[in-house]
Amino acid sequence: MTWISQHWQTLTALTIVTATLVVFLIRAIRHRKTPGCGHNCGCAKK
Amino acid sequence: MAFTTELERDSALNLSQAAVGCEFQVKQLDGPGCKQLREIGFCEEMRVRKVSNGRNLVCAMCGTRLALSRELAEQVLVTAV
Amino acid sequence: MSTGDEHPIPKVALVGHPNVGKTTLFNQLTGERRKVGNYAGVTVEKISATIYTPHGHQMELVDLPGTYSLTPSSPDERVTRDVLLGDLDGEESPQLVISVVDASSLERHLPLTLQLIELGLPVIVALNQVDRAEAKGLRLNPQVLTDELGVPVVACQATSGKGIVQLKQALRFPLPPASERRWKGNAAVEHAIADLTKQLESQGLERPEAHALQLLGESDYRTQAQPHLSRVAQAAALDVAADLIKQNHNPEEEISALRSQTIRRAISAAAHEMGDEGETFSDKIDRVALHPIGGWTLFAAIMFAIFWSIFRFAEVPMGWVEAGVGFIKDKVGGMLPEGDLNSLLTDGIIEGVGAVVIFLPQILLLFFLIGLLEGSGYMARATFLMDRVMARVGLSGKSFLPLLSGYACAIPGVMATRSISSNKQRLLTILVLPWQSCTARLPVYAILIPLLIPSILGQTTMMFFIYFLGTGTALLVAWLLSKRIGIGEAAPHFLLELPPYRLPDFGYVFRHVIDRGLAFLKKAGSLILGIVIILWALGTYPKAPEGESQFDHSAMGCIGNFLEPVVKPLGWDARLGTATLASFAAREVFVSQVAVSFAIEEDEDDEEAFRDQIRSAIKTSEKPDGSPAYPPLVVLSVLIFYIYALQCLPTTAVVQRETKSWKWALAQLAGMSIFAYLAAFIVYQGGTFLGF
Repeated sequence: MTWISQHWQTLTALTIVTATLVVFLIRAIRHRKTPGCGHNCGCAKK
Repeated sequence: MAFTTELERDSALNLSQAAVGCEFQVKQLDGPGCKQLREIGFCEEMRVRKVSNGRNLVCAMCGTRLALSRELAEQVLVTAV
Repeated sequence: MSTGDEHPIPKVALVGHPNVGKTTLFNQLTGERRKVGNYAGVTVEKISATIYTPHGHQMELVDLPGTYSLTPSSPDERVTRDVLLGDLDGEESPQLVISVVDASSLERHLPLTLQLIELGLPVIVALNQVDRAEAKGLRLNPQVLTDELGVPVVACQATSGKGIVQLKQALRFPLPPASERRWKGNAAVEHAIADLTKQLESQGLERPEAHALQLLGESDYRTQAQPHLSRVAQAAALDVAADLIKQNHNPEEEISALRSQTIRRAISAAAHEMGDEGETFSDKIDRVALHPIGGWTLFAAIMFAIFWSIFRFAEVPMGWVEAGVGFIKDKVGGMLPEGDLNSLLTDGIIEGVGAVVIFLPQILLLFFLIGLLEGSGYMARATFLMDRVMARVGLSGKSFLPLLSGYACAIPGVMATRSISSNKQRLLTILVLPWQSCTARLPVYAILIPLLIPSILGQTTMMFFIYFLGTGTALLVAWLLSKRIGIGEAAPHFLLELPPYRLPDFGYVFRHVIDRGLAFLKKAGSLILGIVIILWALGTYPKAPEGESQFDHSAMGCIGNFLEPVVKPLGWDARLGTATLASFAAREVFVSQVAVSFAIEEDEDDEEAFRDQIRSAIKTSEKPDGSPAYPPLVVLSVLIFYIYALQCLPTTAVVQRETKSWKWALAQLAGMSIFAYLAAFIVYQGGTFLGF
């Protein structure tokens, strides 16, 4: 217990960092999965 | 009353050639850009005044000023009033 | 206030030309409450608000993007057409359409109104700008116009609030019935319309007659693939159209001519023109503004005034932001004992987010000034003047505004390209936009330029030169790319309306500015928050034992050492390499990374002293052999790199969204990075060779 109370700041910080990484990964995967609407719907090169 | 003969059409004045400062009446829209022209308001019988020349010219019509490219203006056939 | 029923809330759409005063009318009707959202699958904003009729019924009012006709020539206009036809996913077609027209220009505005009536939706015409029309000597009779068009016509002057009450009253329940098509073609055309309508109906297409009229009236709608229309429907339309053509009837021309006839008849019945159209006040101004010499002089003066204002007036609020960030940092830092979380919050998050927020004043100011230019009508003249230059390099005059916005921030600049009709020109503009030196590069310039040139005058000249270099390269590359992208696409024609000069609607401008600011904060801010957290982690772990440099020991330092051989040819070392790599996420990070690597503590109260510390650390740093580690040539090579590199992941994300193509977004990122590397390489090696 004392180890945790000594190092709680580090642990919290690391949790936040990990959470951030996870959020980024999820966003990246989601962007890949929805690739827009194919052709002729904006300005991809014709 | 668009042009009826080829001769009339070939010898007609287009907006690009028209003189600056004078009033004209649109006779016909002739060319691939006429769809775009119609949408922004050009139509037969309409009065147009040419305001300036250049690569893009300016004309006045129905209370507004419009700027259009020379190629487009060449597709608007007009007669002097 | 009863909404009444189990019925869903009716949707009312405002439709009209771009400059007609739609938004002013929207604000008058909604009391300036609005929600900004998105349409599914497209990057066009949806602006809507809830209103209550005088009888207490709830309605949703939607301000659709301005369009000249239901034949779209840009993504914005396509959305308007698709929403009205009920084709856009997730959007029902509206229950009622308010067609906003300019009373002094009916011939130009009524064609769209007719098309709206042909959609088979209930239409109310808001005859706007009646006061201006009367001032010009035009007398209009709304009742006669109502009779001619078959739909209620309400006269109003949105800017003064006149007619708004009457317009709201026209929104009574039950909604006015849909009107009928006002023209009848000859037998062949009518037969074709009826035939196609029946075919579309049997295919289960909603609003068959509205679609039939669109398909026959516009050949592009028939021939080009539409995301929301089935191939079967188009095939049917193509057949019917082909039949008509065989009988010597051109559907587009005839339908167009029929509409024009109807309009002319309506106008001659309802309007009496008095007096002639002489030179207006706007014309007088345009004598100068559009003049080849006078116009350019005026343009240059206005541009200069804008940039001067931004740099001059943004300083004070920027100081407030800095002070604010420092204050928050102290407070939060004081709440926790020393430790990692404390460091993450203060040095990481607050610092990082503060680095983004500090640009807000400049961005807001630039958008405010741009908003004034647009609102006053001058922007159209600037676009006109710039078209000449832009067309030479393969861009459009309409690229001017996005490129100008890029000086503040590329993100809103990229979004502003939606008004460019040509896909090729739009793509080119987006691709070169990040070379407009944005505000994020300024902290880097502020550190590096004084190291090269001591005098203030010299520094200002250098800044000017840097902006010039960025823009010049952008135009040059646009020109080169235009030869290789999208060849064969028909060259678009320049066609632009020059609205009369008027006093800008300040309420609209302010709202516009706030929207842009919030968009910037949300998009850029959220991504940077995440990046800053990760960077903090890379710099803090693994922890260095007592006495050793934390930077060298951390993950970041290791990456830096790894990078050293890559950046050596540019004259850089691991420290610069790491700082630059980190700043690919966000340029502002360069400064804090360099500071961290020198173990310099940021002093919130004195930004200038902080920068001086960094500069002197750079100047006095020595290589093992005693020679300066960062001589001016190296500083220059870093500077050149920053001018050209695309170091803003939020921008890449927005480019992907706007082009709907990862290929272009990543190609842009890779291409600009390589370009920057080569430029820095040439500068450093070339300079060394020449003996600098």
